Amino acid sequence: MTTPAISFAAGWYDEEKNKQLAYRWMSSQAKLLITGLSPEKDYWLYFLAGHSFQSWKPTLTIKAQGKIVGQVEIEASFSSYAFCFPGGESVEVEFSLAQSQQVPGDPRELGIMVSDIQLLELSSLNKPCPLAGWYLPEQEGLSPAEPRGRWIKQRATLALPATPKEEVIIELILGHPFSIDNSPNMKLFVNNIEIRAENITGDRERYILVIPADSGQILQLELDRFFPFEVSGDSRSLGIFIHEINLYSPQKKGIVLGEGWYEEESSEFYPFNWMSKAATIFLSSHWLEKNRYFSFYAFSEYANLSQELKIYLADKEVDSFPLLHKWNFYSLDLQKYGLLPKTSRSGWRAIKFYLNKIFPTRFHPQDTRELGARFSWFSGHTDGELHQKTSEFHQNARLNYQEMMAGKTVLTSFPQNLGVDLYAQCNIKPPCVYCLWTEMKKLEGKYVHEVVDEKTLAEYGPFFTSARTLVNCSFGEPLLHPRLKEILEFCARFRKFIEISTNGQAFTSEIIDILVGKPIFLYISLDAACRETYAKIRNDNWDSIIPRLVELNEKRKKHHNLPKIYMVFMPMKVNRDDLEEYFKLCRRIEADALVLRPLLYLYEPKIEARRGGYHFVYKDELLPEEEIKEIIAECRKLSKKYKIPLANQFEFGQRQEPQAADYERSLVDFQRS
Amino acid sequence: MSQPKIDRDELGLREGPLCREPWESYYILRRGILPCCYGNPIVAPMERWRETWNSSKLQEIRSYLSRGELSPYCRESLGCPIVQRVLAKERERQGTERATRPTWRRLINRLFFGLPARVYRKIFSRK
Repeated sequence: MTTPAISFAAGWYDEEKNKQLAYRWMSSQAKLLITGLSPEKDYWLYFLAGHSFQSWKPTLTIKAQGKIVGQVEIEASFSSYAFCFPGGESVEVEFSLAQSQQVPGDPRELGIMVSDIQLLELSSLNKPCPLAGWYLPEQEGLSPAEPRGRWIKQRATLALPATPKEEVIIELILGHPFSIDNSPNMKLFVNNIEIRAENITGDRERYILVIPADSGQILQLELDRFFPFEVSGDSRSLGIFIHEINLYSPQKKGIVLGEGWYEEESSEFYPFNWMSKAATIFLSSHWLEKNRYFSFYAFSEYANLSQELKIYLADKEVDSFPLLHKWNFYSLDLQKYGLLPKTSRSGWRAIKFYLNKIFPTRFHPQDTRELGARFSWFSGHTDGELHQKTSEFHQNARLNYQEMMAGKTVLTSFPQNLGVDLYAQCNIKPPCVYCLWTEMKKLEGKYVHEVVDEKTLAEYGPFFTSARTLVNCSFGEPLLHPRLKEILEFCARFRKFIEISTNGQAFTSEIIDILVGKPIFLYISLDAACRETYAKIRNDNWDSIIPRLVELNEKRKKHHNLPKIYMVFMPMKVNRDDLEEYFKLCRRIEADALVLRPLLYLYEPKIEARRGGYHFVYKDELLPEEEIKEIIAECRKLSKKYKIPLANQFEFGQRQEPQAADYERSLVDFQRS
Repeated sequence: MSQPKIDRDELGLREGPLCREPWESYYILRRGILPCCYGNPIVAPMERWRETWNSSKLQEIRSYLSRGELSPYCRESLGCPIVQRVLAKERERQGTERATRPTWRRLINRLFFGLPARVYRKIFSRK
């Protein structure tokens, strides 16, 4: 079998180049010779064309083997054109213009500029391919951060790849930056059959199309208007801007978010998608064969469990439950819903999510979108025990809330946060100057040698199952635990968030490898931004700590940015001047937040230590309230300056309303109160 | 036309007890069981984690907090920012009460004793 080849016959001038592309001028008549075609197939001739005569719109007629296959007006700006013609062993294609132009000083008879001539055979396409009506890719998208997109004209066509054995999903991300008053209505056709109509108002909107199995299809986009120069300031006839076109095959992609979901955003935890009030999720038949349970994390802004999620399958409600406040793990039993893979062919099954109420707009006045709840980390699993424990966790969380609101003092529910004491040994000897080490070890008494590991956690039974977060509160360095890996894997299996405070001196490459990729919140207590201050609080190991933190940050980038790094700073007299440098350090290691933590208030403490040439007197280090207020105000400014979120633990227990613009807000999502 | 009434706590962030910790959290530590991370002193040894969750001590703490008050246990836990805030408010209230002592008392002081305000304050604060 030969490969089709295109050669320029009569009527073409030599190739020229401009900044964007290589092209050839044609005179009023020009010919192409195409060889190596299959007589049984139809082909599309695709090319870009334009010219340099602003008000001129010549009509181009295309003939294949003497028969007219299309006629079109060519505008000055380069845009794409495409014509279908039947195959044959060798085909002569004729380009003819009724008029041509003459430029002073140029002896040539100029017709139009033609570039990027391609021959497309739809059954061999493996990705969506623009046909007619597309302007050149922009150097930049609508904003510099976006990848290159393309404007289309009032009408445009897109060739879809052949999918004879599977239905595919096409995701179109499109929009325009102009006033809503000028918003065009768009109709979408597949092979000339209208499939939907929309009014395009935003600059970035997602449209999801499920395309049935076929050997070659054309998607047409048709607008009722274009943006004239008076609106767009652009001499082209701009229709809408196509940011992205994605095609999802059920063989390659398991889960696709349908309509009702906004594009992925970053967050303090994991990239997430806002859901509007109703949204669809598509699960591929291949994915359904491998997974019984559908799982995700969801974040409700409602702390009173009044936001309810309903699940619909083919317009029938199959489940409903309240969403818990903040990020929580959910697991849905698809078999229970009767959601089974299609047996006949490869395709998609849709489930619909519906919220009874949205996140009130008064909390996000700058964001005009309809925001429901945040969702993240969609995946599947087959772990029946995980599903069962997750169900128990949710039942308990609801009961716990009800008992608390009813003022019950004897509880049938269990706590949602479990404090644990993983390890009682520490690598800093003598202990940090403010540490109550001696007193605590006396209190621990015989329990100092008690082993706490994953088996202990399992023995906690409902106390472990009910816990959303495990908080390590040991007087000891937890990263030294000989079974750290097993403990963290056990917690990760049951999707527990783990909060670990560490002095930062136990990091090794092995420990970093254990930590990365797990839902851990590492509170790293340095309290100092330089060697000298650090030596006054702890010891001389400053120089070995920072390279490890850099290593941790680099490695976690390959693992969804987990664990989260929270850098703890307890303001004291000794480190009062380190604050700004500490923010800089946080920025250097790309910390997720700076945690401002109070030095524990003690009544007339008698703790003193000489370290690093400094006499540390606990009661003198406790800063007065007015100074703490000043520090908090300073931290807020520095947080904005260095773009490091601030977690202010002086505000422990204060349940603040969400304010999207507030840098302090994102970090409290994970704090327990 | 009347404005629609806005539910000022529609997210449910402010409702509930003074502190949620003794319902939502529980600390099983080597040094002992604590109802919150700022709790002091310990309420039971580590091994008694099962029964301490609904012990009389925790019931008492929950009872006070659900009424919007600090329990005697909380008042001992001075490291807690919530406790500190409540105590600061109490101090402020006491200060305001002193400053706004009844007019008849101020009048009697002026007419019969003519004492400077700071002396008067000292006498009454002892009471």
